[in-house]
Amino acid sequence: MATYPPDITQTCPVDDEPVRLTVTIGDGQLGVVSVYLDGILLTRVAGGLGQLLLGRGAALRGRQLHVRTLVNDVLSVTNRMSVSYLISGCPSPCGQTHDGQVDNEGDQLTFRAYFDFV
Amino acid sequence: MVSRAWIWMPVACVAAASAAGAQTPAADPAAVTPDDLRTPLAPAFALLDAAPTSVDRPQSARALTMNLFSAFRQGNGLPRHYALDVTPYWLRSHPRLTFDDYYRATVPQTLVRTFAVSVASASLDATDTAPARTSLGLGIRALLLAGQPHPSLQAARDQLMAITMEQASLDDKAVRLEFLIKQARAAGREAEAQTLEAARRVLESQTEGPRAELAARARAVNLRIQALDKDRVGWMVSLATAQVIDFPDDRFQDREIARWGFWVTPAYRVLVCTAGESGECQSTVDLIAVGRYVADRRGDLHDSAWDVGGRLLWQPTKEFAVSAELLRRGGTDATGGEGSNRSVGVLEYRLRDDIVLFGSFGRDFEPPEGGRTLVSLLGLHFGFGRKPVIDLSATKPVR
Repeated sequence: MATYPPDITQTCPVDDEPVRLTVTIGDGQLGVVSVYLDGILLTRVAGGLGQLLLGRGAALRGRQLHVRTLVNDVLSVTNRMSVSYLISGCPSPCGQTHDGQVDNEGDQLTFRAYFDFV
Repeated sequence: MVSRAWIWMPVACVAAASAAGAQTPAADPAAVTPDDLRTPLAPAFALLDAAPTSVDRPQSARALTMNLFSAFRQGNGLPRHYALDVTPYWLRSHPRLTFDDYYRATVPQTLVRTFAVSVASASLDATDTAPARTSLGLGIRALLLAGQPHPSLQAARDQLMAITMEQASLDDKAVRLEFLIKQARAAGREAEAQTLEAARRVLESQTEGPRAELAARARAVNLRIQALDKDRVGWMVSLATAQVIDFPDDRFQDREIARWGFWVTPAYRVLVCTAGESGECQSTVDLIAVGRYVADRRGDLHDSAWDVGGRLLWQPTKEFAVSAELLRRGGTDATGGEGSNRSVGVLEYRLRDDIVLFGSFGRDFEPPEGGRTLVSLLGLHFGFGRKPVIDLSATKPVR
């Protein structure tokens, strides 16, 4: 049975350090990562996203980061999917791994994660 | 993941018209099947001489546990007719394994990722001449080299990413509206939130058609990429070993090792499409070498046999294949302890996904008691089956 990934919501405290976002699509799958800040598209990339500079913490405070990843099942050896998020530059580690699984070969899943900077 | 086993079923044997004047079908037609030289995908089944119509292939530790629990409960102990094939690496998630990592595996990584365990059990009821017996087959298989990505993979990947980008862009307006709705609700502006919500619903219905169309295109490319993963080129080396343990009268203390064997199959595949040809390249040439050894210790038997040889396979289309194979067999159950050769040509034509017509012609191994060595055979392979059943009456010699 398909395991739809529940939305992730996390609060990330920030100081004045530069804040960067890394997104990894795991389990050998392929996808597209869209990054929105306050609902406005910052960037969209195929595959993973490495160390995207979001800005200084002070400028991000009170804003919401939304990462939306559309993942394709391109491996026949597994129907698992995972998306890992790491936000660096925060005083305490901020990030999670998001898991899902498709029912049918070749299906897609959308992973949604929301990070509120405080 | 659906499992599928190939069942060998000869439908016609043609020998009478040959120049050698042979009058009867091959004594052991199963010795010349098209997949004869490949390392068995599940060596335990091959060595058990069992043809499971389907195999449990759990994809998680939980599913594996449940399958085993169910099988042991149904068998009231050791499962009596059970087939399991599991690749431990893929039982759990690998969040750090990217698509590129998957295709750039080192030899140790390839071994770990392809290491598979097969287990099968089969029981025979007592007859007038033989006691009841449960046989347990245990096998392992792994790839040492998995080959290089198919040259068409990059194009398929680019195509998929373009489609997925387009799909993702359909969300942009909805994401913005979703954010504004949340903001309005947080500020207590419910009327504004409801207006925005209505706009979001309209947008959703407007994009429904393009979403469905893009999803269907993406799925087709995903399946194409999955198929290309199985059509790698270059060097591929597979290793397998298996052992069968018999439990006569189902008594554990009387267990005996009935058979064991190993397979080594190096293969090299090249694409042979002509330069400038339009469309997709599907024509391949495979050079497959094989080394295998099977020892039979069941009852009073102390036989062993080894095969060394190779096969040259040309597959101009996905449906049609021509191959020639040469095998040298030796061992204590070969003719008088001396080796003999088999040289056979095989034609295969895939009529449907699950039906393959094949024909073979050539010289077979020298039978121990003498007799004909002409191979002249026409047959069908049927692929079907979803439930884990091992039918011992549908046995197939491993050699």
